[in-house]
Amino acid sequence: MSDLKLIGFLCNWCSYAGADMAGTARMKQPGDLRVIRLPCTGRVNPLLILKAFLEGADGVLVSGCHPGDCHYNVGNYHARRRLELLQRMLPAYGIDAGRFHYTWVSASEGARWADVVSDFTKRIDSLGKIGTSGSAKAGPAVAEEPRILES
Amino acid sequence: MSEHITKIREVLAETDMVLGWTASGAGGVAAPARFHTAEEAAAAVFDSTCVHNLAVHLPRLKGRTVGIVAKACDARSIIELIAEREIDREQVRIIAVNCPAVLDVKAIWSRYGYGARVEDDGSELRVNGEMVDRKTFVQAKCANCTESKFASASASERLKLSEDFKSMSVEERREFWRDQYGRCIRCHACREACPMCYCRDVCIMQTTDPHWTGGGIDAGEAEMMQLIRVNHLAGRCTACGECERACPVGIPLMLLMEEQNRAIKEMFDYRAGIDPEAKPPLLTFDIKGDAWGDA
Amino acid sequence: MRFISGENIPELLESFSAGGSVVWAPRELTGSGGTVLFERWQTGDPIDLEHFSSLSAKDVVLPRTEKLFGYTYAFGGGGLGTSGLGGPSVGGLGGALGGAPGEKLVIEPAPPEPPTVLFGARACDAKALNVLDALFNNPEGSGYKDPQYQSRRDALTVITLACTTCDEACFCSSFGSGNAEKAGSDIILYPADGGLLAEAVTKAGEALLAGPLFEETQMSPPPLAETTRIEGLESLEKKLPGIFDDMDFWQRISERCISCGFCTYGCPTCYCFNIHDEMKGDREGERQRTWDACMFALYTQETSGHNPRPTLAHRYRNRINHKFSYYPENQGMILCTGCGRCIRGCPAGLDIRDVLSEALKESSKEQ
Repeated sequence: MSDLKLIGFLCNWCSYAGADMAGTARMKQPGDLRVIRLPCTGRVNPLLILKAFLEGADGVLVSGCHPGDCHYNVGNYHARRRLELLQRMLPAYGIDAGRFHYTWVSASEGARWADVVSDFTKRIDSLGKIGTSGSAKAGPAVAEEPRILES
Repeated sequence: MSEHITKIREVLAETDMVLGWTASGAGGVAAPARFHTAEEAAAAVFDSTCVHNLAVHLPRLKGRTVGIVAKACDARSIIELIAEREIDREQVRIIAVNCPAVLDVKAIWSRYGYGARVEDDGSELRVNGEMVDRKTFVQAKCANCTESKFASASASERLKLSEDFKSMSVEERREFWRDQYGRCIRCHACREACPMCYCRDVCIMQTTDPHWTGGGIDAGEAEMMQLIRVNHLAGRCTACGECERACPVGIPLMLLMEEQNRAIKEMFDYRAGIDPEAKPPLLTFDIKGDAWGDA
Repeated sequence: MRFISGENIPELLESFSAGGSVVWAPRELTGSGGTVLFERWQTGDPIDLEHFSSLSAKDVVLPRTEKLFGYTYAFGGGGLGTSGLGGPSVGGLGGALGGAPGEKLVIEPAPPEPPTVLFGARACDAKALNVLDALFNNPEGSGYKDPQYQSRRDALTVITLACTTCDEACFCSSFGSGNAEKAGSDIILYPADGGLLAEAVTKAGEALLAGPLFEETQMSPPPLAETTRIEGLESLEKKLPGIFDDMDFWQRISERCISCGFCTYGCPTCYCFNIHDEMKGDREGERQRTWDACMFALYTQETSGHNPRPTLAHRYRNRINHKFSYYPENQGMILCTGCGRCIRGCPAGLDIRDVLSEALKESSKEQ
């Protein structure tokens, strides 16, 4: 598990604080996620996520404030559209959609954060390193089925 | 044809120029032209070899009033440019034409040699005087025309690729794109041919700051460049197919654009270039309506 | 004349690979709508000797992207020099590199080029190598040779396929001996019944043809295709400066161009390049040379923001002048071999021959 490269884009105000809370409360979670702190998920350019995959990330996680609670009011509303579109486009690029997950974790949800990280790490572990994505390993069912777009 | 010329002359009376076509290409096929005077307009033609999307010239002609002969697909690009406030509605006069579905001239010349004479009357296609199967050479994009006239007009091989792509596994698609992008030479023809790519000299595919991708073609640089294009066209691509037509190494760029346009339609019930007053979906949000994933 | 049967051609290329050479040959790329390109050949790859390639073969001497050298700022004993080059605020090398005391710049040169065989080039591609030599190899007796270009050129064997067919875009007979040009090739091949006839042009070519896959034959080579000939292109060298300032002309002539850059990339003689450093992290990187194109908006964009060629018309003027006036004046050859790739590949239907005819007419008017 320790050679997995997982990247997390966390918004400063909610998710980063929530992750911090999980840390100070010493909640158990895998340590493979490498966190990048941003002011807001609205700053997340989908290209950042794609670049991470091209550079060899096995999984990318984005976490921000719950919609309605954004520190900058509307940042995560924009993020929601962009990230959902990216989620749907990943299979077209040839990247397993299960490798990307976006969620909303507030500053008080430290316990939930630990769960999010554990689930995500387990999911990527079953998918394998990105060089051998999906079909190479017959692992347990993933949280979200990769979607193939229909017309 | 004289009706076409008359229309152009009418529009010329109130514009600085009209963008259209003359039959001055090799083998008598149409080539883009600009008409500044009524005399020049006498050479105007419109037929199925008018494959180019002339809307690409509009952002470079700001400050002038321009008439433009437009097929339905071209008109979508013009409307999207207006919706994005890149061009001013008052400065454009669209001359709509009855398009018979355009031919894949590149494919014809690839098969019959460059400059082969192309004669198409809408039902019969002759190349160098010999009749050939028109359906094989009608561009694949016409099958998705918003005019809905040409759903079965094309039996182009390219349509088969769209079908095959849909049924590929994720692994197969990764291999497919690695293969395809492996031959991209970053000539930027796709960007220059696209009417929606008007960032030109500040395009982030080639800036040093931010430096999304280097100057070369090794190590996935070309792929990053293409991903930038696809992502920057989310909700903006009008499916004119010019990027794919311009590509000198035959990369099927429209495959990703088609997938993305489908996703946009699914998510927002939106197609670019239909409503000049519309707000492009990636520029806005719907607090209640965008309820995907964890809420 | 020597002869090789069609079925022995893959074996011939195999013998080059086995001898340690990299082989380039034209082939149609799968799923590309019929695009033919010069690619590195490996056993089992198909070879397409029938169609004209979309891009030229100039990659073998001037790759699209090449690493000139790699560099690392490393910590090692001694630093960059003696006292005075220590801290970042001091002038001299230490200061300029912004390095810490004790830091060295380590340069890793690019590996030497392996011997290369270019198989299936056309006369226009082979001639283009000579045209490029006029710049990259000792131009005007300056003694300068572009080291990367030269090492590739010296290690290159060119096996040219003579053109017995052509299409309407070919106009090579406007320049010198057109497709009968032998200079630049080591061997000329001719299509024949069941295989290819082969004629040596250089000693290296002769040595190759002595190999076991070739046999002696009395067959004579087929006639070459006759391509379009445009008269008077040499006169453009002196005539073009006369219409240099006529921006209306250049504007009109380049109207339909969309500045996509394909013509320069596909051209066997276009050579303009960029050199830039690509960092990997903040301590390592490589210096790369990549193709540039005068059709790009950024071609002469300066750091100040000023661009001496601000519009497409200016850049198109540069393209024509460079090829038909400046290069002949400086290097003594026209920077074009009439291969027609720019014509076949232009998405906007711009034909350089129309431009040249117009330029001849316009510049003759001025006088």
